[in-house]
Amino acid sequence: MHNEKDLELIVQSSRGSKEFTFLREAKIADVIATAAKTFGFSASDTFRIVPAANPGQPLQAERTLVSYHLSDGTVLVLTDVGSGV
Amino acid sequence: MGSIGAWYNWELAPDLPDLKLSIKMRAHNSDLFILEIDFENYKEWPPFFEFADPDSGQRGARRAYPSSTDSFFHGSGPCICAPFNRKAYRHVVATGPHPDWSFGDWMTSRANNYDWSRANTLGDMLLMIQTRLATPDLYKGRMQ
Repeated sequence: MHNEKDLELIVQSSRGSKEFTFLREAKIADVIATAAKTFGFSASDTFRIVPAANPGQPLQAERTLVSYHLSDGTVLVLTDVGSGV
Repeated sequence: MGSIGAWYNWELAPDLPDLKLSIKMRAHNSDLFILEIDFENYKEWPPFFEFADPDSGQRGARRAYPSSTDSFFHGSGPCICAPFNRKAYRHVVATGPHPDWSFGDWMTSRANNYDWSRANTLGDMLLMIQTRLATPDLYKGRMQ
């Protein structure tokens, strides 16, 4: 049963796509960390998460999901900026 | 990887007999980039990434390359400066920025204190490139 405090999101990455359930109050940083770990990436502060429908606007790590007014079923893309060497 | 490519509207043109792939990518402002990848001896060797000018078709021209806020798109070559790009290795290309890299650890390199195992699938590599094109805080137009 769907809890109103929860938000069901789809996160796509370069290594697949998966449905996640997060508290609406969860911070974006926690969403990134959970998704990155699930897809098998090592931890890093170089990951970003962007709305698939608006990939030019990364979600800010310190903000919460609810602050973006995301709805159930929203698709997010996990990306890694990596490093300039 | 197909879904990611669909969101970013990649146009893929594989050349399977020659182990090559061409991809059209767009920046957030619709600038077009044509990325050509050669998979000779993959995965023993990292792939060879090159951009081609969308107007003239000239491969490796500075105008063919994007520019970002860091040195990922490197003026020497020019090239994508990452262990997953064969063109960044000095022993492959004289203009390669890195005489200090070898193929042996390209999939697990820790160059620049970054864990490059996060970028050892083709999807990882393409998304890392696309991310620099898609966001205004990273994309700085064409290299020239």
